[in-house]
Amino acid sequence: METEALLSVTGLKKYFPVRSKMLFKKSTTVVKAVDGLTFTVQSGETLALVGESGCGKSTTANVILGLEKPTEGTVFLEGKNVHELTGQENRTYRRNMQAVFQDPWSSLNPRMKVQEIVGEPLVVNHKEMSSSEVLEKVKQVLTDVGLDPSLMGRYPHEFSGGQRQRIAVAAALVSDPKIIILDEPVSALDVSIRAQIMNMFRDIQDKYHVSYLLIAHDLGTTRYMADKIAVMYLGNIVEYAETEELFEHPLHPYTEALFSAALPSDPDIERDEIILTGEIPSPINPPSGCPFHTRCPKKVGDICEREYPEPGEPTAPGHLVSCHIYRK
Amino acid sequence: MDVKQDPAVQQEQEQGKRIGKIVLEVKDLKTYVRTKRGVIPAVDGVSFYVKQGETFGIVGESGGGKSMTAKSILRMEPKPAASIEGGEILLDGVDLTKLSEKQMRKIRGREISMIFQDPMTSLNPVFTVGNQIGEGLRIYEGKMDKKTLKAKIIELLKKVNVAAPEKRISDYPHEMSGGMKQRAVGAIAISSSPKIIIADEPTTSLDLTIQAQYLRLLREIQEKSGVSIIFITHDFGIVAKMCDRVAVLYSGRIVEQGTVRALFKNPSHPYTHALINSVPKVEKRVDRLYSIPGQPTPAWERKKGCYFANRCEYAVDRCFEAYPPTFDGLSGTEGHLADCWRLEDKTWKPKPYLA
Amino acid sequence: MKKKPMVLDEQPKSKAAVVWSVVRELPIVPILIILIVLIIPTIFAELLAPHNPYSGSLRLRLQPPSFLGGPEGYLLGTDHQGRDILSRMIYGARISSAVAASGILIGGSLGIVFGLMAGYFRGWIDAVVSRLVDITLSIPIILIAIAVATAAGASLGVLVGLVAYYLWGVYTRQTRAETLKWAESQFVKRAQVVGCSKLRIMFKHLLPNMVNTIIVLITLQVGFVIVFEASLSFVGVGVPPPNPAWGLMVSEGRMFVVSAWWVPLFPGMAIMLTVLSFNMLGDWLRDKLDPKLRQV
Repeated sequence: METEALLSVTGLKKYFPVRSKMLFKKSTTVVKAVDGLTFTVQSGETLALVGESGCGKSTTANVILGLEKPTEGTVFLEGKNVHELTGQENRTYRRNMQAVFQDPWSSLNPRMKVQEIVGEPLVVNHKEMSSSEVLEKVKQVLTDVGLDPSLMGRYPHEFSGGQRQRIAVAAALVSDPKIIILDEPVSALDVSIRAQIMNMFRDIQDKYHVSYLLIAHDLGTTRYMADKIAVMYLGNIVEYAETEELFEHPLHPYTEALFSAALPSDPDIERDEIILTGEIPSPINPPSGCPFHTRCPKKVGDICEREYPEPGEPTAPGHLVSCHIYRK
Repeated sequence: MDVKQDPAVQQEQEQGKRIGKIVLEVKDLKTYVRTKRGVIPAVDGVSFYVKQGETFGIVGESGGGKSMTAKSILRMEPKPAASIEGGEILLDGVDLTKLSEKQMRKIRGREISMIFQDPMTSLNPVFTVGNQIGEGLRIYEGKMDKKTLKAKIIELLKKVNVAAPEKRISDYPHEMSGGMKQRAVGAIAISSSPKIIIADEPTTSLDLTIQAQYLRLLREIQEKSGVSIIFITHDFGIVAKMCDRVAVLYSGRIVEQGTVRALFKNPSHPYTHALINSVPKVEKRVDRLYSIPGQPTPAWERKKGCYFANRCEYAVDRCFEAYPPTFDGLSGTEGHLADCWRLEDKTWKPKPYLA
Repeated sequence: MKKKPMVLDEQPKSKAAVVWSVVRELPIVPILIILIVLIIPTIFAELLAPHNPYSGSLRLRLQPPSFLGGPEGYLLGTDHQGRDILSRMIYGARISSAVAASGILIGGSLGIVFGLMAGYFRGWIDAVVSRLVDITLSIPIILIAIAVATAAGASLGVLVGLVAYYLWGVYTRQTRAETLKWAESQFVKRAQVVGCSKLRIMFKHLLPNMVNTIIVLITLQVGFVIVFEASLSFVGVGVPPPNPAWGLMVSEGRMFVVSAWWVPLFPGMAIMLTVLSFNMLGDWLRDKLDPKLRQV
């Protein structure tokens, strides 16, 4: 009944070994940056991974982008395992999966002209294209992201932060990708520029029918941009739902705490803040059972410490929560 | 989401704050900076005041001049590239622009203390927390015997709600949790009983839940010590949550200032209005964000007239001819000021943006 | 204690004015010295030198400069073989330039390639290269020079080889450090996502961003190479006589310091002025080319 997902991530784990050399013995421990993620992204939709620093959202992005190999689990793009591609298949994957990073100041090579930057994915992966075809395509995407193509002979430092982010988006779009990973794409921009860029992302999605995997920590941005949201904590997804469902009915105690900490958009809004006690535990020795049990204000009992709460039946269509409270 | 929207409750809370007389008054401050493209006005005639116990927000985007304003108040403008070329900074009637560097050193950290980005990294890992709090105390209050010093440190730690301060006093920073470290930094900030704390984007690098803890701590500190806080930020959320009054900076000038509620309910300057509507809301999904076209004009390319005119949807011919005067009494409240030609018409205001 | 008020510029500076303001700050004296003492003699030695630098007349040995009463036509005097010191210095500039240019070219190219590989591939390549660099830079170069020159005989080729051998280590270390820094940047990550080959990332993305550092390094090392050549020649393992190298001239003149001080003094001054000028130019370039200072 369900069509095959564009991107499907199954049981993804990424552990980093940490070697500590004592005088005589060597011991190896692991940081469990990502500890078993499963999710899908459908064609044309936006999924946001939300969480605080250290929750593993950036590592997840790196694995999906093929920059890191997973310790366990698989990433399939259009039915092909992205970590087992060779030759032409790999080039197709590189064309279909693009990324826009956070910092528009360091994500463009200062020594390359805009046309070289934007055209690079074609030069590298579409070897059959002539240089005039590449240039044509570059002009077209620059226009689509709202930049004057006549400026393409300039270097990045001649542009402002917002314009640079548009250049980065143009470079991501040029190979007609199926999905773009947006890693905190607006958090380094000024407030007035953020809205421009977010609106542009939405227009581009309508026009190109591209999917986004949005990595973000700002809740306002995710509510505006995402169709579905996965809330991450310590390398796990604790809650997953459609955006409006999640914001209106957050279930997981961590999601509740996170939402309560969000800054208000109006001085008259006063929330009951749920202040979490304690620290985010170290991913080197994550807590047994539910990773959140050490700070959870609503702990049910021993079971939280013993057993990982597998998400059970959806509480509402497509709303999954990893918490013992909601398991019958 | 769990939202209480009761202005009466809010009102009550504000009255609970003891807001007193004016502590700091900045009058027509001008700070110029020498750049490759010539000398530019980074701060171009900024005037505002801060009352005792009040939280004043200075909000704006990069290049707006908010950090330079803060640095100028502390007389820490990067010399010799930058220099205060006009105006007064009156701290309890003393003009800081006239003081020598030596005299300023007695003000900095003592009368005006400062909290920087990522406050937790400002603790020195090789000294105990008590030691670091005591260091300030000894400088500010002169020599005292160990017993009194210890008592004072414990008192400060109690003020910032550190549990069992007698034990914590000999802890090293790495032995404390993040929340405790925040509190210790807070204790250092108030150890000199300053009149004003300037907080320059103190929470931008923090995670949401940590930021919430920290903002709450600042509030507690203010309630207990009655200190005034100047918040430098780009985030309207922080302004909404923390500030009593706010000034919006654009290209080195305050384009609008007033109480936070007045600004949020009746933004009068098109820039303020646009900014507020361009921030995505957590509380509800907007269909489409307002987006201000273009970007701020660099100072060396500025033409005469209102600096915002080229991005303003309400601009009329006049806006391109001369910089507008400041109008007071907007939204029927005194002290709600804005610089915009359109406000000559008392009934005019930016159209509500329907998303 | 009164300070000059800053006045706002009514008119913004044009791009040309900004470029001009940089040009105006050029360290003009060092550049002039380098041109006069090194570059122009290197190119036009045949035209400029009044006498043959290799042969002189023994009749005219150890004559003082002409402005101190020496013979007409020998502006800076003559050495112990009666050769014109000015002419020898002019040809000596050519030798210094040749040694510096070829040594830096060979050592620099090798170092840049190894540094890029070590910094970008990391792992065992990095380990091997880094240890080799450590070894290269930890053995005193003068010792090696003396050993090699004694075994293989002093020649220009050996000298260039020694310079390249030493600079290889310096460039590798510097390029590796720069590579590590830039490899972290988001544009390199983006290039990986796009699917650029490692070769393309190294030479298209990383190398162009190190050009500034490399230029500064080269400028600062011309001085070093000249001193190095001079010291080797001074101890007798550098440029073989009768070639007119500056260091060799100082060395040959050292026994006449008291009787004919001009013999070692003028080549010594040439060395000092050139090295000093290159160091000043290098410092200036470092200030100007530092990307952090380049932003307005």
